[in-house]
Amino acid sequence: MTDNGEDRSKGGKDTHKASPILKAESPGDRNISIYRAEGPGIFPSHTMQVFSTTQSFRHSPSQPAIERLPNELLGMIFKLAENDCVGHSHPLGARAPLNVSWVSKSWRQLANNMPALWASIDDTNAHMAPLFLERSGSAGLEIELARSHINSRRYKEFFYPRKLYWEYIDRLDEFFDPLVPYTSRWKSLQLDGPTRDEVMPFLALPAPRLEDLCLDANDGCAEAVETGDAPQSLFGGFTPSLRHLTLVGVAIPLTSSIYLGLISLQLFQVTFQISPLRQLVQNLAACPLLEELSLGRLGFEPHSDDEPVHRPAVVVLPRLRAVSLNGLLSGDTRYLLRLIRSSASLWIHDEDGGDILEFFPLDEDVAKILPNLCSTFKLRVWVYPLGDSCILHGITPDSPAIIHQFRLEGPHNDNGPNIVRRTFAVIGQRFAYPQLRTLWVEGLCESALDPALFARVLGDLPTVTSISLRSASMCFIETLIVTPESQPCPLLRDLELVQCAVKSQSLIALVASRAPRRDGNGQADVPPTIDHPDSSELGKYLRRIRLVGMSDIVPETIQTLESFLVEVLIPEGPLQWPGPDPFDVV
Amino acid sequence: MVNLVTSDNESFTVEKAVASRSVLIKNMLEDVGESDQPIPLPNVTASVLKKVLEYCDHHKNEPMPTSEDLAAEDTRKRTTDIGEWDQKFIQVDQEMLFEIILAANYLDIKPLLDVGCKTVANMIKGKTPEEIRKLFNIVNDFTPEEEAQIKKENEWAEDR
Repeated sequence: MTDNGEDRSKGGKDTHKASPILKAESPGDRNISIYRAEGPGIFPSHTMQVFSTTQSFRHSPSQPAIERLPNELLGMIFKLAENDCVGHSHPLGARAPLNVSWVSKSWRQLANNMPALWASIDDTNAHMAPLFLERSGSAGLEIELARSHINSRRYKEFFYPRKLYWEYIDRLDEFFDPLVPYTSRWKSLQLDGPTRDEVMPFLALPAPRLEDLCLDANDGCAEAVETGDAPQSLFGGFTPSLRHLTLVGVAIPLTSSIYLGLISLQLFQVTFQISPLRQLVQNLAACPLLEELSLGRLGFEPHSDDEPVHRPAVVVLPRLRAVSLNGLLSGDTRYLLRLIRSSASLWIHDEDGGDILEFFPLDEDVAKILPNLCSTFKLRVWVYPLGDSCILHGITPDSPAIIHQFRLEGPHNDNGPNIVRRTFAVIGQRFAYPQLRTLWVEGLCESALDPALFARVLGDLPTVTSISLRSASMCFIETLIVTPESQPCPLLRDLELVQCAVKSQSLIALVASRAPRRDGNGQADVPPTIDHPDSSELGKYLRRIRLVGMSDIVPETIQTLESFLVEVLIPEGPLQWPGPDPFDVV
Repeated sequence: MVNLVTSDNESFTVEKAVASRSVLIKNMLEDVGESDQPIPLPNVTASVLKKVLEYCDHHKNEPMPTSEDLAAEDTRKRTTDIGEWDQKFIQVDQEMLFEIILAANYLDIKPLLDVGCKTVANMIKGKTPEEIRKLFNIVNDFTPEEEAQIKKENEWAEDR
């Protein structure tokens, strides 16, 4: 129906004629032609029914524009306005739902009849819990207490200098007492600050609707210790809906049922003196839908992972997307990696001078544990100047984009190879990258790495077509020179050098060694195959060299490089590889 | 190409990929198959549809939200962050803003509806009831008794 009540569906034959009245005005108009319709159109009656039953939105000119919105949309807006992710930076009275319910009668009626709008209780409205509990009806309650915020003097002084409820909320029982009778309605509970012993008395009743539980007792770096008198379960052992669990500095025995049926598990800063690591693996087996596993600074009793008789069965977790292991003993990491099978991204952070190979069982193929390792197409390696820290970072073109990230740190060991040497030792060996296209290395210096080892790595990566070296010493760049004895990365087409110390003579030698040979007339025997679709032709010769932040390179050197039919790029502005850089996703 | 006719009888010819950002139109096109017949949009004026199509054209190559995406949104707290282009796009007067929201709702263009609703939510955030009334030209129709009752309810929210 049109505004004047005309029903176009009854127009009979297609008599629609149109003539253009507006031309494209903006980029968004490029593909849109606008016409003035001169006659009624036709459309199948069953589709027209959709239109004929809709109500026109015309309105009285005096009506405020916002009042034209149907309640469902206004309610959606109220709910969006309620979510203030900036640390409750507005005074409570200026936050939804309290402010919107005080605007007009119609807004009040709508807001007061939206239980979900009143279902969030945190440290700034807990003192008004009775009002919120009443209006939230049977909606699942989302409870959050961030005492670390409250304890921040700056937070108090900046946001709420005079609030009475600071005193109120400092007493945990006053926060929880009104909420405990509603445990059956708890949907999420996030407590940041209180210790386990403080909150346990309030977490005894069954919580059948609880989906998300986060208990963070971290008031610095304190680690919790599981002791014999630790409570065996929370919520009376009844949390059948729990899917997301985060425990930081809170020791709950691994025999508790809260660890079962999870989608995400984050467990940090606990020393388990009683629960064995084997129990954790068994719990994971009871989480077939697990998508995220993050374990950090956990301690377990010593175990012998090399004795098969003590190992539980391998756990296959097909939906696992990300595994993060931070600061675990290498034996514990190895035990977990041996027993978990997934194609998830793997993040390992070791601060104790660990070795990549120590994390993987010697008797197993790394590709078996990291099955998508072989599809890595970009490898990024950061080397820190003192040689005591190294990050290895592999990316695939498909999901999951990040295959692995190993961050290894530790004191320099004078008695053996440093972390950087040990890391490079595995690249191309136990860590085979048969699909690798781009190698990106930052910080190569002789004190951290032997150039011969780098040359060996290049020799083991024959598929690489792009290399970026940043802040690299000359000796590492020279490993790319092709000689009769050494042809590293034969498919190399693009080379980027960023802020490298390089001599013109060596740079020319490198490019010359990778340039096409010339005949007697100075013509290349095979012209560079620019943008050739056949990848087998791509890497015959170096096609492009990009020099960034290298002021020592004089114009004469550039001219010489160009004489080898190599495109020389000297960009200005921020450092970046031409085209979209997948590393930006990090 | 798809021909769309607005309530004020203007006709817009757009790429199918652009028009199909609207789930309503996409379903209709699938319903009727190949057809050059115009699609009437009796609830959308030309000025609003032009704006809506600008949005659809800009986002035409993006994947449509799946039912899984929509279900996931229901289960997590939604932010009111808006992309840079969308922020500039939605910088319109209130009249147009609410017309875009209504059109996005009617045409079933969920991402555009989100942008509109988030924009209004951001306008409401941090404002007192009186500031909200002033912003949207809403009349305070509470009686003095009702006002007193609400004030009493909310006294704990006062900054004191």
